[in-house]
Amino acid sequence: MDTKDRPVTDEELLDLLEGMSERDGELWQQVKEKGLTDDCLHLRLLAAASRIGQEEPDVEVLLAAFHAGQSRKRRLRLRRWGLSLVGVAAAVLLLFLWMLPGGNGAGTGKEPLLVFASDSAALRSPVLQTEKAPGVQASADDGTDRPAVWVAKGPHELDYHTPANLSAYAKDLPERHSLTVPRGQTFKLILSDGTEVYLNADSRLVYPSRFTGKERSVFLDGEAYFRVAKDAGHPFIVRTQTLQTRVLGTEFNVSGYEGSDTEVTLVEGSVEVSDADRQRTVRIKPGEQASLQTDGGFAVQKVDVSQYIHWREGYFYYDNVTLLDIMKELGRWYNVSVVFCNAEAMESRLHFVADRRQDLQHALTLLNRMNKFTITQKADGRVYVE
Amino acid sequence: MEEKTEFDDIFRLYYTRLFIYAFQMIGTKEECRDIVNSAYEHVWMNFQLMDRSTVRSFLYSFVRSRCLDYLRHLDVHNQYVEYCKSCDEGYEPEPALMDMDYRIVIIRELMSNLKPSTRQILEACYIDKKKYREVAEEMNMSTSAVKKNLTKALNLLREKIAKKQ
Repeated sequence: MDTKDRPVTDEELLDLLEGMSERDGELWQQVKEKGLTDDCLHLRLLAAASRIGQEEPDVEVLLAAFHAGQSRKRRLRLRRWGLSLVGVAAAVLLLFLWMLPGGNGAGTGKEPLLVFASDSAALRSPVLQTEKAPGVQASADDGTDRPAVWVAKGPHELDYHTPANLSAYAKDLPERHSLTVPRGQTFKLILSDGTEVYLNADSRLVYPSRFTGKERSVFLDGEAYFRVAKDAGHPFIVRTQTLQTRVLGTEFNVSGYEGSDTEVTLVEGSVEVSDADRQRTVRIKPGEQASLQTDGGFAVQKVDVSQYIHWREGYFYYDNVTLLDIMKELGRWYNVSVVFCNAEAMESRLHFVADRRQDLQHALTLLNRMNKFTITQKADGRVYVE
Repeated sequence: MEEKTEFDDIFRLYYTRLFIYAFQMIGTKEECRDIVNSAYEHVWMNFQLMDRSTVRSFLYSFVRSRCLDYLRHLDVHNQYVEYCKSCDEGYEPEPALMDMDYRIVIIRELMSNLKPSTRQILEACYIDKKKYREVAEEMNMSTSAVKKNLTKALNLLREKIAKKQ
């Protein structure tokens, strides 16, 4: 490494590397021939480490996403082998399958179409996974020894903001927690910074028991409504498999169920939505919705935000929404399969409101009252639209 | 559960370093993430059988070969692929000392010694591939000052490597 022995001076090295292009074969040949491979590598590594260091990957979140992806893949493999799985404490699987009727000619467009599949291994109650206790039921106290970092305020609410035991809380290191909400239920979480999260059915949130560091970062699978506690110094970031939303303090809804587009809807304030790498970014205003397109760009459109406020309050609320989307939501909530025998009905747009606390039959009766189609739950348990 | 903890530690330890390694070679974060992820996927699937002492070199060689595959698909010159290949060869006598992971660890340590402006210059020149004169204009300094910053960073790194050897 002695400078005197180097046949090429640093000046020459820099001149050679100026604006270096991977397409310039001559350049790379010279780098090798002149023995500059190391220097060139080091300059590139310095630049790369600097750029990546600008925004260090959140390894904890990536790790949680990695394991979530792996267990989903494992379940897919098992299902293919026809094994049933009991007690899987993770987000459930959605299948959007083209169902071909036995014996009938395919491809006529008239076959019944399964648009939503029920899951027999679905969770019955919300499950909280912590590093110390994998898979405890996130319900009200049952007398067992619980960590002091959160308080159960009922079967569907956890509070990390006002811990039961302040001194134990201060001593406890932040842990990664993961809350999974089954179909047919919602859950309210108050995170350590006071941010309120309403998790919709069939969703999972990974979050720290206490926020530390520069950013407040959580990972979402499914749908949730966020009322972010204001803290300009610590941006709040919601990551999903495909995108991330950064905010300082605002209200918005993120919906990213597997098999559907991920959509971010802003109710109040201002948010910045980017793809997972922050290569593309879009800012949206209240009443706007950003969704990631298959080409990697964002589409922004004006939407009626009532739908995203109403699910939180226990209602199905849809205005100008297709029957297909409505039926998928009903399938998810009541955990039933939905089959369309009438493909035209799928695209008809409706205004529809129903109480989620009522049973499936109640919602179907309301839909049938429109006299546009007949929806019935048959003996096989599936819901058929005719 | 013990295996998972062990794996998690490996994930935490090398993730960012592997990411930097891949990014240096191919320059698109999205692709880097997929590649690093699939390297870990292989480790995770074969974790029971894996000799723990080889996990690190497995991760690096997996990422390396995936990056090279990716480059071959792109419109880059074959000489560049050859150059990338030669980057982690050539230290035969003491590969353990000068392996890629070690360099990256040193470089990450060095980051805190660099001025923000130096980092900005490094990125502009070697990631965004701007000409030195362009960078000089943007940062309101002379072209020779830009070069001086680059040489200084490189020399700091050389010193640090020499000291550790």
